[in-house]
Amino acid sequence: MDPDNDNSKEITQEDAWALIKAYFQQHGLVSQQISSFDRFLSYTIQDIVAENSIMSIVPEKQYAPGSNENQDRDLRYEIELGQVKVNEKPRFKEYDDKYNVIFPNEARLRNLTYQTSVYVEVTKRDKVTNSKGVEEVLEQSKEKEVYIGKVPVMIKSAFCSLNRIENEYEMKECFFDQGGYFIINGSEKVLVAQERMANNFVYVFQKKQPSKFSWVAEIRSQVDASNRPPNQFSVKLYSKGQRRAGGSFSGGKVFGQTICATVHYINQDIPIAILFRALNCISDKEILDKICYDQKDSHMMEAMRASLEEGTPFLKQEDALSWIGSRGAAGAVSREERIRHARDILKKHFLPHISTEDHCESQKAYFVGYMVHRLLSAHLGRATEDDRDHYGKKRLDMAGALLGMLFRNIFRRYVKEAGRVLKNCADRGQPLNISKAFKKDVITDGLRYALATGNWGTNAAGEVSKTGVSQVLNRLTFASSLSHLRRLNTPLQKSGKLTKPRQLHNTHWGMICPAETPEGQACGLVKNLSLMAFVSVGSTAERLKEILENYGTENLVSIEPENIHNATKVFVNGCWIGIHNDAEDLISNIREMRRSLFIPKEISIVRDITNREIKFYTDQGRVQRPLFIVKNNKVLLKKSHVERLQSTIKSQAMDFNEALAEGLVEFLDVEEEETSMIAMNVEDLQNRQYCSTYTHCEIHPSMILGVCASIIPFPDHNQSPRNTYQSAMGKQAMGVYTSNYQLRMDTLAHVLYYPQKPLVITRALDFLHFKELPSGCNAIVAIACYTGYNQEDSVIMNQSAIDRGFFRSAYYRTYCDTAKSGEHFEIPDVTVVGRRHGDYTKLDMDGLIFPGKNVLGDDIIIGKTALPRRTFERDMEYGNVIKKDDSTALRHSEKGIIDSVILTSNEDGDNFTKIKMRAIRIPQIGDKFASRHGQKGTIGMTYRQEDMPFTQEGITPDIIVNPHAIPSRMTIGHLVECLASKVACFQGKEGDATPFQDVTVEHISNDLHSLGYQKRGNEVMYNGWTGKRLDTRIFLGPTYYQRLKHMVDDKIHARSRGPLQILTRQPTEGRSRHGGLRFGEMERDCMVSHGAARFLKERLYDVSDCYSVHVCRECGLMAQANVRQQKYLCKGCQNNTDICQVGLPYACKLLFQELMAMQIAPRMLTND
Amino acid sequence: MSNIFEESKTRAFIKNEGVDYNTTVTTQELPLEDFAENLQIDVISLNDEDITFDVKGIDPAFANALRRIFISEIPTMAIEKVNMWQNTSVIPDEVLAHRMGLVPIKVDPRLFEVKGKNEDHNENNCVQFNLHIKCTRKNTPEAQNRENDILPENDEALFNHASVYTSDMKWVPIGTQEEKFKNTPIRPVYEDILLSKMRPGQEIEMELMCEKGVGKTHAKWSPVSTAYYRLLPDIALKEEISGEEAQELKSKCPMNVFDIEDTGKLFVKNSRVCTTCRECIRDEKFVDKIKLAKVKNHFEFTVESVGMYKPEEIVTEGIKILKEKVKCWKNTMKGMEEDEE
Ligand code: SF4
Repeated sequence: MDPDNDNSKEITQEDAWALIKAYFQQHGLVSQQISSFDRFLSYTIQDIVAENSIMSIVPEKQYAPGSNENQDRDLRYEIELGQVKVNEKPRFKEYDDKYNVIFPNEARLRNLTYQTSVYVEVTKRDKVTNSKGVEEVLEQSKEKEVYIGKVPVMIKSAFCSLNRIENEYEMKECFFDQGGYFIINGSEKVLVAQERMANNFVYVFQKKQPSKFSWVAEIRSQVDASNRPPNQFSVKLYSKGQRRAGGSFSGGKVFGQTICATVHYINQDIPIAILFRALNCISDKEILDKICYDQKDSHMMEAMRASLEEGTPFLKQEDALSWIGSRGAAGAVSREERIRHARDILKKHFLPHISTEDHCESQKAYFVGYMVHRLLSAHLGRATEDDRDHYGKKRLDMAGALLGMLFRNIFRRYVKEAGRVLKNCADRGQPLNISKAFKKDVITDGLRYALATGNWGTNAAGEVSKTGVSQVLNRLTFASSLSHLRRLNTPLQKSGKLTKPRQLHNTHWGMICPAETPEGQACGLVKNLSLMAFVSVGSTAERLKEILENYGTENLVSIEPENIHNATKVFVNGCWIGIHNDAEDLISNIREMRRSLFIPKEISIVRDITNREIKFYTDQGRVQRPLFIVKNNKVLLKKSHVERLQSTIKSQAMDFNEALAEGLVEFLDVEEEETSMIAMNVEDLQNRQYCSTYTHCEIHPSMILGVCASIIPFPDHNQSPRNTYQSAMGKQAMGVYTSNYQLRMDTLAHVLYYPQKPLVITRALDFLHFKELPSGCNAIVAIACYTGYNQEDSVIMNQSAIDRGFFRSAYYRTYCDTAKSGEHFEIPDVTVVGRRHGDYTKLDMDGLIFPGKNVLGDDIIIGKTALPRRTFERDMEYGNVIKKDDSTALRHSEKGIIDSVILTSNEDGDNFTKIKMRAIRIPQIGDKFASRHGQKGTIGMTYRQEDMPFTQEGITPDIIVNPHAIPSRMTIGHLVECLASKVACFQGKEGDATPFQDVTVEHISNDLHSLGYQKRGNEVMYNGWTGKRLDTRIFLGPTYYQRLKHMVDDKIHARSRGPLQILTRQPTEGRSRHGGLRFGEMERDCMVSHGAARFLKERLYDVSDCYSVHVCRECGLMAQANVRQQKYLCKGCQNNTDICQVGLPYACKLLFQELMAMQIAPRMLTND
Repeated sequence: MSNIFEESKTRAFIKNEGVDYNTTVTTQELPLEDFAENLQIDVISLNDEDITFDVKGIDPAFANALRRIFISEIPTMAIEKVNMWQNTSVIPDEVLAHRMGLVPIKVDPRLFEVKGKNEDHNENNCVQFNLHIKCTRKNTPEAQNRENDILPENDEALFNHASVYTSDMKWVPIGTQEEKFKNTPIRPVYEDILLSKMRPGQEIEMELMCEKGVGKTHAKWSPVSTAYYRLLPDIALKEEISGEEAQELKSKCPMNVFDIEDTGKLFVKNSRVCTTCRECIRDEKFVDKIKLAKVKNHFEFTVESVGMYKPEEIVTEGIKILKEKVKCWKNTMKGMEEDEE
């Protein structure tokens, strides 16, 4: 480094923002979704096809009389699926068979699926085994592009049409849209990342006593990125005094704690010595070598003694194998069979992540030894129990991984089915029709079904294994969409009372937002990624293994056990591959490779010095984040780099990738983070006294927050639950949810008239485009008691401000309908049956309402008629078909103006219409508002400007909140925001409210003081009615407020009379059905205890399902009655005189009749 | 002691913390002549947009009545009905209509009547504007190249009427209005209020009907952006302050009320600008050294006009309305007296 160069000065915390900006420019906010999907379409699909590539079809021998041709030959067809080709642009086949490239907006509007075709190269080989038993190929034919189905395409992925378009807005896309979701049948779907435990990890747990075992070491072993369910294997240490149950040994009594192992497919626990012998470690020394790396470690040797003694009767490998084999599923017959069976299990199903090939016993033995070593270390108190909730041991399945799982399942089924069809063909001696065998819709529909419903895959029993994986993208506010795309879900444990997995864990730092999680059932199970967190997409370990070998890693097969103790064990993806004698050297070499991007940036390198282990991870789903690299307590990123980052000149500029390649920053995952020393601030590095061996430095501590929490100003001044509340509330705020909202047809949307960017802003908001698409207004807020109309979390709002457009919003609702066959859009005339009571006159000629029309509740907006289900040709001819009305009316509680109408055709070529209605929502009493600090409230009263209190500068507040909202909630951030906003307002500058910086309240106060205001933001005010000066000073200033989607107009509901349910004749339920208000059990109890019997009868009977029947007094059953002619008859009794009328609820009458249908006679005995 | 008592009749003292329970004003009955004699109005500043004046000798009820009338009871003309013939701009009809309503109109409302409920628009109760504007692409090569469209700052250079301003509103005289307002043509107060942004092909055509109304009904009819008053501060030093303490006190006041003489003595330079922030008496040691008070019957009014009226007109109109109200009240009282008899 050039010492004279002034530019290579140390950076300040401020300069970090240049790098953060570069990061977001390159990665955006949804790169975890997109990169994962890209990997799926570019590689995973090919891998999955390759896994199931070869189909072999052996036709059943047909002894057709007469044709003897093929009898002598053993014909066999082989179908090989080769290269996969994915169409680059999503296309759509119109009903008239025309193909068009489609763009996302068209898919959204026309309710299409945004998907692309996948083709596979198919090679067919006719093979014959000749007389010498050698197979020869008779004929080989290749079909280049066999269509197998369509795969939904993620918006803005490498396969999206938008990729080739320079300006998204030309394709009617939002300028700020980040993509990362799918469009299925017109609705936007997000694949929410699923969190799971990582495979191939050894966990050591202590069992809660009393229990049979005291310690357990377990591993869920799975071959890299395969779909097979992981195989559980565990090594267990018995508790003191516990004997093996049902021990069938002849070896006599064994004293001490023994160790046994549980292997998949073996019904009984295997004593560890037997397992070792089965793995060809015969002598006790061999076994001990695998476990106690240190020959002098007498404690561990002693701990093994009992287990070794237990194994003495089985001294040969065959004996051990036979023991294992006899406890397998087959229970096998002969000794040979048993041994073969055991060998097979040990090869294929035992620790498959190490290998499933032959000759891997010694490697597996080493691994079992390692597990026992870990177990005993814990037992001897040298190591502690593993932490289940450690985030390094969690993996996130992003969109690509989820689709991969699904595709693998469907594809397997698909190939099997195709094989069956081909076999049928072959059996009949017909030529194989490949394009017919590969059905068109299986894959397309399978994927689409899963994405449309969120039911992800089915288990063996055909039940849905996961639900809610795919969700409709939340489009209420731009921030809510972003946050939705970065959401994580932890499946299972929904009802479990276990609190540990829900709690914030230390290792969440920088990866998971500490504030943003829902309240209630899913609290802590649904999480959100922090802003700079990234999820690894995975790469193969092969190349890394090669490199490790070249750098002197000794393979396990070829080492002497004595050497292990003094060397470092090397693991790749949880699999122990060898040892290395110079860990420091190896680590620094590989690290340099990663820092120069010679190997992928996402590979993690973990050195565990105390246990002498080095672990490498290359798998997908690890959460990572970038950090500054520190050497000699100095950040490597210098001022000169910052200048390049900020430079606009192409040749000098540096982007984030270059910063990675130059080794200035790197990605660390949670495991690696644990072995690093990370400084919180650039300034902390100077404090050598505290630490002089920092390896990394936090880019900026505020990056630990997620999307929603980043909106909060001064979150570091708030009580933490308030930040959580705001994170949930920010998603309900109205704003401009996307810049193309006029071109979209969302079922429900709110758009704020005059959104403002906040006066006080966190730096992270720049990257969330919150300033461009804001969701609130800067309101002048006074914290005061004024009249009493702002008690209990209500607020007083300035009516004059509302008149001037304060917090007005537009509300859009889209109705849609399809005219399937037999249905028509038209104005239903009077001959049509089943006409609604709404207004049909507003319809245009084509049966649809037209834009600009004022509509009220129950007005018909889509006129549609349907032919009766069975129409006879004759009727059609004479034109006396009676059509049924199937029109759509506006929701009865809404009114507005028709904004736009589209008429188009859908996938099946049916006419299809969408109608968007717009209404204006002016703030009124009852509407809900909230600041950015979890302080929500409804309007309790509106006062005009002259009634509002005013300052000596004539300022009247827009909102008055009650001071009681503050002390118990401790939202100091709210007050600080107000103060900082006031300063920002007078200085004409944006206020900085980024957390964890050194702005203090005192700074802000002093600024305000120098501007000629009271330091703490208090002002003298005058009462608007009396004109007198208020006795106290009022805390007043601008605060950013949000209008929430809950508004009285959507909730107001009353009913005097109205519709009844058909079955019970009781009033309907719910506002949308104009229902009654429930007089429930508690209300009933209240009336009973009050003794208000008459009132109770009125509520429960007269006003509900009042009914009367006639009862025969002879039999007590219901009789026939003709009230008009005054004729009554009980058929059974032939009684037409002794009949009385009984009043009872209709539901009761219904019950009686249902009982009668069940051969139970409920008799009503009436006495006068 | 009695001095303080006397003073507390006219002064509200301010404590260094907590609530001041001494501002409640009780005015004794005052004969009209005395009132007239005591009343004093001085205009402090006046320009096209606002007026500041002192009123001495009234009580808050009086001052506040005036203030409330300024804000909400002086009638003006504002756009109330919009006939929208065409609107293909991005702003929805209702929003645009609402925006139009807020445009201040330069016309003397005194020459118009309030439109009755069943009345039609006529020359005496209505002013009409038309706004018809269409955005087109300019004929320059840059404008024809669609790639330049992305940058919002370009739009004025590329398109005709990319922004719609109030200057695009055309007054349409009704009946004899043309003659009547020959010398003072009716127009929006400001020509440069941005109404909408447009892109080529978009068009707005509407008729705007102004009616007379008051701010009580809707804030758009309010002739002032705000009208307010404050009590005149009265600051004095109870004892001499000099040296370091003087410096300290001087820097404490954000409004620079205090200054230091050459002799090093502190003096009150300008008590009027005091905002009563109490910063000067926050420190215990100054509490007893400074008298911080407000004159109870001395109001400093500020009226900020939106532009339909001149600021001084608002004051006189307001007083007229107050007078009307008093008269009306007097008549009612009289009526009651007669009823009693
Ligand atoms: S109250 Fe505030 S403004 Fe007034 S003199 Fe004291 S410090 Fe200055």
